Amino acid sequence: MKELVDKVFLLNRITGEFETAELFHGIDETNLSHIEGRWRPLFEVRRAQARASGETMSDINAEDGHWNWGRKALAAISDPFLYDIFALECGGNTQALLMTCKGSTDCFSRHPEHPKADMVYVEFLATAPWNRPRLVKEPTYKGAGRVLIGTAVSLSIEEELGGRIGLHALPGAEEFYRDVIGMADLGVDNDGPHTGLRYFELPQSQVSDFLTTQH
Amino acid sequence: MKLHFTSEWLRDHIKNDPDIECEAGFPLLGAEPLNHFVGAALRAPKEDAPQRPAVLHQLVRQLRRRDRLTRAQLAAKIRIDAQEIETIEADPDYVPRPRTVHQLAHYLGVPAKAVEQLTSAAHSREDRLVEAAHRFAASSDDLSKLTKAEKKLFDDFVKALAAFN
Repeated sequence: MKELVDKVFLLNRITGEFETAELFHGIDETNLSHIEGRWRPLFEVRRAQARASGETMSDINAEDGHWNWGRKALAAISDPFLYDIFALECGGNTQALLMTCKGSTDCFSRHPEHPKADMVYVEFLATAPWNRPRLVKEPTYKGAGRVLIGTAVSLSIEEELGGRIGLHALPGAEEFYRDVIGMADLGVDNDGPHTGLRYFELPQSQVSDFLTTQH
Repeated sequence: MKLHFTSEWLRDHIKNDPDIECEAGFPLLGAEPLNHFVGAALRAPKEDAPQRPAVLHQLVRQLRRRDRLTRAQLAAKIRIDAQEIETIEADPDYVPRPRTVHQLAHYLGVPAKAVEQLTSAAHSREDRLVEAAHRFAASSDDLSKLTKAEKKLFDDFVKALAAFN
């Protein structure tokens, strides 16, 4: 089932105008076909360009190791009921996806404010390749990360988890979570599937600030 | 689900946030790992699938009778939309969202996979569960308080679900 959660906005960087976007709970075949038919070819072109120009796959967040690990991890999920997936659509395209989990070993807080408290863990937050400043020269839409992190926090509140969320930022996105969203930087994982990735949490005490603070 | 941020908050932040990457978790480079997260309702049941009794609607209805809850009260207790409870009860072929299945299972104290087995999206079914579902499906489905016999049938069925592996 794919259900509209709400209408939100994304900023079209090219026109400078906000456009109405739709946030869905659940995905369907259309989202899969966008990812396979529109996201994937652009990733492949960009990976080939990166190889040719001496950039690393890490520079563009497209490392085979992480991808293979994630592919296997998702395929191995035997209890999809613990997962929520959200699709952000705008301009007839899937602009970003968010997958969250409540109930795995990653879903316990590491924050000193409430160690081991239940929370929503972000399995992945992925934006379309044409929206990524590190991947393309002129990215199209801005704001997908803000919408989806707001969604994860909302889900955590709805699930009576106090708005607590945790995630592993990919290289290049640490600044977004630490300085823009205001999450606590709890250091780099030294073992486990997220080895080398920096872990961030939004503790309950910061949730209200996150939802009310304006620039 | 309700969003806990306002349009003003969103517009203001998007305008002022720096233009930087926000990717987290594993890098999604293709659709293949997401296949089994596509809505269960989209998976057509196989034509050669064995005949299965549709009992989820009845389970939910009798659960409400056992606990003397209106649809709205049950929906509030398990934090789902009351409309979905109504749809589940009215349409035996309706496949609820994974989260709804999870919440119902949690309320009943049984594995979510067992509740999924009662929907038309179930791929396979354990013989013992099919048997229990047939017995349960044959029981009354009126909306008055459960009789002792109905209560026993309900409890037996929940036990069978709880034992589902």
